[in-house]
Amino acid sequence: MAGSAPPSTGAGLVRIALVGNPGAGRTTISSALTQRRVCMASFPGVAEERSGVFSLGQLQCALFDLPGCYSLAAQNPDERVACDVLFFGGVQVVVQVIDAANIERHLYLTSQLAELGVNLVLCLNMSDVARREGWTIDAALLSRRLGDVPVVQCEGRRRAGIEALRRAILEAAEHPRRPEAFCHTDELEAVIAEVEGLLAGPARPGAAAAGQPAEPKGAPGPGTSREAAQLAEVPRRFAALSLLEGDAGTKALVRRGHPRGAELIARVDELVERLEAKHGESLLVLLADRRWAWAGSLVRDVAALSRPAGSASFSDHVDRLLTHRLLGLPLYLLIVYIVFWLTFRVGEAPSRWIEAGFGLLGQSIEAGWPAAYLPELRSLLVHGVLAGVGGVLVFVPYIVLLFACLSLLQSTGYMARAAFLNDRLMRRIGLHGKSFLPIAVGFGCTVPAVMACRTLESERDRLTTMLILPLISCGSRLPIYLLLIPAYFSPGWWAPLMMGVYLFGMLIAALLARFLRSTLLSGEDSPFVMELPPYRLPSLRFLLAQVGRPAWLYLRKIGTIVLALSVVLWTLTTYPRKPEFAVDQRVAAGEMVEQAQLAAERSAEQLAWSAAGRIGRALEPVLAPMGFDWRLGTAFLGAMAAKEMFVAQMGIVFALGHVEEDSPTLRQRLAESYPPWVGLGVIIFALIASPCMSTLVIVRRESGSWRWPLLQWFALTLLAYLLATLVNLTGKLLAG
Amino acid sequence: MNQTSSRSIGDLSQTLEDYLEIIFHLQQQRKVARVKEIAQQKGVKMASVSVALKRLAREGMVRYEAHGFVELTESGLALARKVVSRHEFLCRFLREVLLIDAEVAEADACALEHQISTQTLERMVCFFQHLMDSAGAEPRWIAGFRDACAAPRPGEVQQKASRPAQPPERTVEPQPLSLLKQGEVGRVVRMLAGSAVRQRLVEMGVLPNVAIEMDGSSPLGDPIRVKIRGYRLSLRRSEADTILVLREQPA
Repeated sequence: MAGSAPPSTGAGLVRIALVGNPGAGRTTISSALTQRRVCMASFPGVAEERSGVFSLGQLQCALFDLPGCYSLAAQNPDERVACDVLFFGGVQVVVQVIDAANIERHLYLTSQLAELGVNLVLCLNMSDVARREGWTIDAALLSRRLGDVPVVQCEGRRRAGIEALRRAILEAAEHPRRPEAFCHTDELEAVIAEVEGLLAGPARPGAAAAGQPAEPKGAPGPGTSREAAQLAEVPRRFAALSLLEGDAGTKALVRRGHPRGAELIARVDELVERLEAKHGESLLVLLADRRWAWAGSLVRDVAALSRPAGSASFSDHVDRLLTHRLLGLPLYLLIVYIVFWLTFRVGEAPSRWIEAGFGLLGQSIEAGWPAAYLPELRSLLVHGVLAGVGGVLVFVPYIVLLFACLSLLQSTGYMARAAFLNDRLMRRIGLHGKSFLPIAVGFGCTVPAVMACRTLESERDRLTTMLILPLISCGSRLPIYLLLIPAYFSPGWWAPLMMGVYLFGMLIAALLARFLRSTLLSGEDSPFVMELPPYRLPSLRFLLAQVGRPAWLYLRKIGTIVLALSVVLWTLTTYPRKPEFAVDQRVAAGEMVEQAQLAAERSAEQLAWSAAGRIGRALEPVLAPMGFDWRLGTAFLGAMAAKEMFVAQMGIVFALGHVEEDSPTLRQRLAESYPPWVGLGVIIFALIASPCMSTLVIVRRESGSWRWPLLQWFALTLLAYLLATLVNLTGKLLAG
Repeated sequence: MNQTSSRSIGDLSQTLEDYLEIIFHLQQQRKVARVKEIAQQKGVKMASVSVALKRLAREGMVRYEAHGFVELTESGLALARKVVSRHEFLCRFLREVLLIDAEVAEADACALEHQISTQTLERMVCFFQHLMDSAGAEPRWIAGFRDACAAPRPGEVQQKASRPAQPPERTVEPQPLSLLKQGEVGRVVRMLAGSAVRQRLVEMGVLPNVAIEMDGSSPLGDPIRVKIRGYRLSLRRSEADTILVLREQPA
């Protein structure tokens, strides 16, 4: 269990953790409880948008919606976060959300929470679905059997039972009560007690009385290290069980944090070996068997299923169709297409309105603001800030629509099927079945695609997918290809070349994914073992709540950084101001220059004079192997803001004023300035090198560190550099 | 059994004998045995394996470097052969003389081999030899015994009774979950997965003695889908291969 900094909540807050299996409906319950108040509480690892503050009677409560987990074994990062919060987060009340229609499986986690001895409240969510499926659950009896743990029946989607849940939480916060830890077999209990005794300190082994639940917090004797402090926070019985199950994290913690750690571990190994030899079964299985038996007998006592088991439900019929041997994949592709269409086609219109709106706003400011009055500020406001804000906001429609689709797919249960359908294909390149959707979205725009990677549970899969996403050619790069391909090739070649660029990107992405999974992000494939939940219809309110959060997060976290960066880029391409323009001197000397041409020549000279132009010139020796000159370098630097800017920047450096990608003049100038192989190199460079800064910022946000986006930027740029150089040299060689 | 080498059966603990057996089989199959594979086969932690291997190394039975390959020494090999042949003999005896079902025989042989004294074992070998030697003219009482075993007993299923009065040819062996056909039900007997997958399987409710129904596979054939404890679970074939099940006859 990894260490963690103390949570940054104010004092006087009652800390409440919401735990549950994936798909139990934690998010619904959490938004019903907090009613989407402004988030204030945070805990490292728990995404900020998943926690909230709400008041309960006189109490102020901080709610942590922990990532979904099936157990507290801390095998994957999400479970580790859940454990960290439960152990070290100073949580006063733990609310476990249970899918009432699947109660037995969810009680497995309950058994572990009971062993952890937390102040527990059970929330039987989706009790309406359970009733419809024929379950009757005696909540009062369940509560009694668990040692008077409050059990509340809820329907999170319709906000029914939420008041009762609030009351139960309040009651639990004021009168903490521990659930009854159930007993393993006498033999196992004796071993657990012995390990607990060992953990308790340097006392004689086996001194602790068998069957006694451990003190919740015990000092493990001397030892002042951080690990020792952490170990002291973990309830002893739970630590003992983790050791016996062979949990690597707990072992490491004990080895470092316990004064006689190594000795203790050796003794535990010995005990484990003895038991395993005796029963011919691993201790993990023996302990789990007991928990499942407990959950099973509990369910038999408190719940009854009236529907004959095995009768096909509506969900089964839907599943038959959607995972059909022949129709499954085409239907999947259709659904991905619809997601793509909704996101980018429907999102295009509002996105354009935003763009046009900001254009108009800029123009009206320029019109109303005399050019002579504070010209620098005017330029900064219009070309720096407004353009930057516009550049941030254009993504919002895409993100809102994409997340509406994603959350619909996720909450209906289709996302699990999508992974089920694709896993074989994606695993070939070292990715997970769920990576397919972000990649498909990546053809539209990389920024929402990176955000869509959240649906991947394993961190390794998530990072790999995120890092290769810039290679999936996004819509912004299309203008570059549209400009360059016709500049060099006859119309017959256009379509195949365009196709080739996209395929080439995908090929490199696949190779890179394989490479990453065997080097930096190596390790066993994360287990695919995954529930295929029954299909369910989410409520509209839930969907809307899900959509608002990512958009808000994007604006707050990403928007500010992107805005700052775009102002920096604007400064680079604008300053220092050129005092005198050569074209003015030519005009003064009597040359006739048209007004438009004059402005274009001026901005070309200005760009060449600016910091970006100077950087481009300074980089020329480096760019030379690719056959690029300073103009291409400067244009690519400008295109850091957004890839489609490349075309506009090329227009400026060639003194053509504002151009579109189908400008014949610019194509002609390009064909005159660079040989075809350099043109090809430019396409490759645009495809692979230097993801745009919005991508870098979003990767930073989603991966949690600057390490990954920086690595991504350098690696991809280097790769593009090598490939473009190769193309240039080959081209030169072939051309003689 | 003749005592040809310095070590004989019974000198080592039964656990260590089990390990020898597993290492022996692994060496036969793929020349070398690795700690991980041994842990998988035995279904225990790697740590447990290394403890046992250290002891075996101390006894001079294996050559073993931490986390490396494991190799039987001369005497280890000799003893392993003995252990294996003892197991195989017991199995054969139970099957062919007492006409016990193969799976039961396998399990009972495991249980017997560690408990039985050398003397009883040797006497059984002798008895078996005697029986086989006279196989040409099988004694009447043996034939009678076979018939008596084959006759249906009260409460026995018909299918078993209809079996020919010979050692059964088609036996019910545990098989990987992935080999079940759609709609077939298997009961888990053994889980061989490594710790991460095993942990996940266990928390999803896959445990020995749990019934799993095969519910088809993905269109591309790989992840499969099963029904367990009233819900649906999908898992990769490679993961399903580590779950050994006994096929249940449809009711």
